[in-house]
Amino acid sequence: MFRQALRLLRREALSGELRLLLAALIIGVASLASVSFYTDRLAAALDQRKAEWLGGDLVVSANQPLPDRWREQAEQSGVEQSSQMTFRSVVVSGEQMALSEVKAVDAAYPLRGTLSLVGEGDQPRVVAGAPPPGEVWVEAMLLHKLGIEQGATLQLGRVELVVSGVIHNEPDRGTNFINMAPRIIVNEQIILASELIQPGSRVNYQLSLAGASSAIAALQRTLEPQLRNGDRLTTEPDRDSATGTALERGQRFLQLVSMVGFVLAAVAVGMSAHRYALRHLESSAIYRCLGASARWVLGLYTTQLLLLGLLGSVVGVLLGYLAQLVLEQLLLNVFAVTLPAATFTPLLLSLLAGLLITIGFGLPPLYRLREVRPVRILRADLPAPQLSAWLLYLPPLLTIVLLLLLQGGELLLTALVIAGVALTMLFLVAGALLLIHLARRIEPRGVVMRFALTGMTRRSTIAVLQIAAVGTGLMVLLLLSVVSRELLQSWDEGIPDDAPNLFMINVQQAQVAGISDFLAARGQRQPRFYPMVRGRLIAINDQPVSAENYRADRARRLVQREFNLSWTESLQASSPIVSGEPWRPASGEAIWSVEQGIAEELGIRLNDRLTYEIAGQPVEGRVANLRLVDWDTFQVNFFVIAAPGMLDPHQATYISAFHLDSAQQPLLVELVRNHPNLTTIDVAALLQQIRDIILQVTRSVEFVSLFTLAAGFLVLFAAVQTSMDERLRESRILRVLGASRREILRALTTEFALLGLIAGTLAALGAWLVGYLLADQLFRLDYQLASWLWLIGPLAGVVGMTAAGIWATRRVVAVSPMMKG
Amino acid sequence: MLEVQGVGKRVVSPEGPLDILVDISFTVQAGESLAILGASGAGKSTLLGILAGLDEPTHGGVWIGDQPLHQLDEDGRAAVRRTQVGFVFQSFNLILSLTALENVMVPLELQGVAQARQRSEELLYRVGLERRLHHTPNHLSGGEQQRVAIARAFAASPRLLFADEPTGNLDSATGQKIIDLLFALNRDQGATLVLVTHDVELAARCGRRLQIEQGRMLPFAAEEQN
Ligand SMILES: Nc1ncnc2c1ncn2[C@@H]1O[C@H](COP(=O)(O)OP(=O)(O)O)[C@@H](O)[C@H]1O
Ligand SMILES: [Mg+2]
Repeated sequence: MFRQALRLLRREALSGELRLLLAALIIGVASLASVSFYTDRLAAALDQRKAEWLGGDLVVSANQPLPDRWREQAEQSGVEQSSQMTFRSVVVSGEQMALSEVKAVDAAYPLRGTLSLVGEGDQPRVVAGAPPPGEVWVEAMLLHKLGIEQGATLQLGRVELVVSGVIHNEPDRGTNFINMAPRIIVNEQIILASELIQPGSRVNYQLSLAGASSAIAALQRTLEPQLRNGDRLTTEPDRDSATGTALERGQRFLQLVSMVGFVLAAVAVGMSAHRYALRHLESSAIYRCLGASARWVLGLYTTQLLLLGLLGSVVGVLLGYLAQLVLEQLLLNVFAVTLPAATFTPLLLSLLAGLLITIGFGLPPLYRLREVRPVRILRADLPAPQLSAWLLYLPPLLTIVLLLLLQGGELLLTALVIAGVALTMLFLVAGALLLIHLARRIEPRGVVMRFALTGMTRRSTIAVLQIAAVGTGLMVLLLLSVVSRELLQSWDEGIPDDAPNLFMINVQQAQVAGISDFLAARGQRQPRFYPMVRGRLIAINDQPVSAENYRADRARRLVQREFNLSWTESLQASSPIVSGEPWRPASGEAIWSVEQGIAEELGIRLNDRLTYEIAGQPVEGRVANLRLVDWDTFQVNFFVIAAPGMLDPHQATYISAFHLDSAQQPLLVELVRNHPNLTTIDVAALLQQIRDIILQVTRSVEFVSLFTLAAGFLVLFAAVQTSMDERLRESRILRVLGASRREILRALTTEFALLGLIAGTLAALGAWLVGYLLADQLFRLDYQLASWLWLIGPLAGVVGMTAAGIWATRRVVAVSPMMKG
Repeated sequence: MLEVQGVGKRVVSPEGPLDILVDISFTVQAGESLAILGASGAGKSTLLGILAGLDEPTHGGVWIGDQPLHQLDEDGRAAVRRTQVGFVFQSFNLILSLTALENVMVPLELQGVAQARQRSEELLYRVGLERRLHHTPNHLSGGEQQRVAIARAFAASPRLLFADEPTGNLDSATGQKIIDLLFALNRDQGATLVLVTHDVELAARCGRRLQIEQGRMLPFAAEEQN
């Protein structure tokens, strides 16, 4: 039987159905494999370099200086240690300035991994320890921003430093892909002289520890009870940071799109297997007639299918491997890590997935070959054996559920994907049914039009399937290529031209008046300064707050960290009070005004009593109202605002946001020279960076969705094949009746163009709906009805479907009236 | 060799029950040849299907050798077909994706015969297709396809050979050659032949004849010609 199966496969490999089945398998598996390979490599990279990224085996970080006692304790337990300080600061060179992430290190840095500088030629040079006190190592980006070269002098606070090296690899840079400011590394000894660190400055103090795991564990036990509020002790790099979340979302999104492609491909596999089975009813009857048992016949075709499945899966995995190299290139700047080689896990999983769809989608239709009766050989007009709907539809459904579980692992997400795909399909199918129904009303003029219209309306099941499949592919692509870009654009346009483009933080109280006057004297609007005090929420209505009380990641993070509080006499008009009383701080009562979103997240209600711990002291007050804040305006605002007098002004630093034309840049340089502790953040540059990253991620998902579109077209081909015999017969009759090839071609073109028009229009509508919902619900934007979608969608549908349809039915056009059928 | 007793076939059609065959009984001895004659639609193919164990009768029974076909299940009948029965059909019924040689090999391989290839080649030489071994049916003429079918029918050395209008799709000259070949091979192998036809001349070449009309035997006509 195996020999027979191989023989059949060799002969039939080029038959239409098997070619299609193979193509569908390859596309489906490749779609899945590309993303699994990539995400697997990314995960491996994250894992492998865990200690490196963390900067040690154990890291203590704090926003206040660390007690010397800890260093002594580390010393005693015999582990290596290194301490660092990181903070943001502006560096100045000549007339240029730029924000940088300063890292001040000691001689032991780095404990794990290697720090290398760009050296002679292209060979990176590994260095250890801190740069000499008069020197600084910088990221190339900074040189670019300042327009200087290695060897130039930088001013950092009150000190001047010579750029003596360009950083090539910084081991503990972490996964922070939003590179807000280029890194500079300096010797910790210069910090005092630089006068950069003032009371209230945001500085991260870090003690990295590395050594034998037992010693590390013991030290961890010693240090843990000594931790102060806001101190953190970690053995894992920060994964629940915003970066980590974004990373995870990006991966999930890729997986989702690849899964949609996979499901469509699976449908094509099922359809071609179905047709294959129908075409082999007679062969099965012959085998049975020659004395083969029903089991043998089923075994024969099953073996053949499995062999094909294996072949398709292997080729698909190879293609997927190549595709993930493209993904790697597309996302090079987003995840700035070198990825390790791929492992066998995604390879095996993708192979398994390919075999699973072969079995789940391909085998059930073949099962009818078992039911063929040998007497069929005498009566070829016997109806094909029917299969129960359970047998036909249940295995595919189970296969998909199983695969989603294998991929995503999360039940909820799996259910969501299934629901989403089902909803999309439902939408497309309903739309297609409606439009085809309408098309039935058209009174065709001429034979071409009639042939085209009846082709669509009479084979309406097939037509609906074709529309749904191609429509899904198109919709995903439109969503990524048109809608996402238009959303970004309308976000951009929503930002007023004179919106602040510059944030100034770390301003000391004593500097506020001076800076205001400085700007006013130079014709700038006087910026408003807001006080800022850092505090941690410790109790709501006297109930202690802890991370364990919350399920959502964001809420857990919010209660673990300190965040910024402010105080004011009058709330900004741009953030209206949505519930509670007007802001009357003059009453002397201790009251808070809380942003609505965060109140919801933390379960804070009106009139709750919140207790914050600020510099070790509890501050209590009543929630007087909830505010709505539109963060997109780039105005300074706060989650929680206190009445004046509740917070100690001596602990405050000030923040301001203002708009400065690029021509006024020298003003800023002057300002920073005079006040070295100031930190200015260029919002425009930051936004540009976020936009770039979104575009890159979008492009990579777009790339994966090409598989989805290809799979959609495979379903189209499979559907065309189902109608092929009928089409050939009709075409032959038309030819006998005197129709020319041109006319048949025109009829087919019209039919597929109509189908494409419907698919494209529905896809555009679907993409627009999704875009609208996203804009309205998630981003609070206006998504305009006037969109390129309405042009691109139908056009792509018509062109794609006509080309594919004509290609698939070229035999129908070529048919000669004399051919026997 | 082949015994048929009171065989009937009733099917349920939209217009109610329909008797396609009624009370057919006869016996064929080993080595004999029998022609089943009748007009188109008389029920010849239905009868042949039942005789060969492709279909089940609704009444009566069929014995091949001493095996009661009507008491076997499908797999049991498949085993009988595999070992004892060969077929030649009007529409050739070759497996389109296999070559001539491979088509002939199928019954041998189903039986697990070791020298399947060699025996198949010999048979194809015997039917004059030595230069067409590796052609698929689509590349063979109707006559050539029927030769392959004959070679395949004899491949497993069946004791019983059924032929359903083997010349029905061929022109008369080719048909004549095919029939000559069929009888010659049948003689060589000493198989029992049951041949369905509406061609009286062809029927005359068989030892015995059986006439069917609207599903019933015309015993007297058969006796007359005997
Ligand atoms: N399963 C069936 N259901 C309904 N009608 C049948 C069935 N099998 C055979 N027939 C009918 O019985 C008659 C005899 O068919 P057949 O045996 O093929 O005749 P022949 O081979 O003599 O031309 C035909 O009219 C045919 O349509
Ligand atoms: Mg017949």
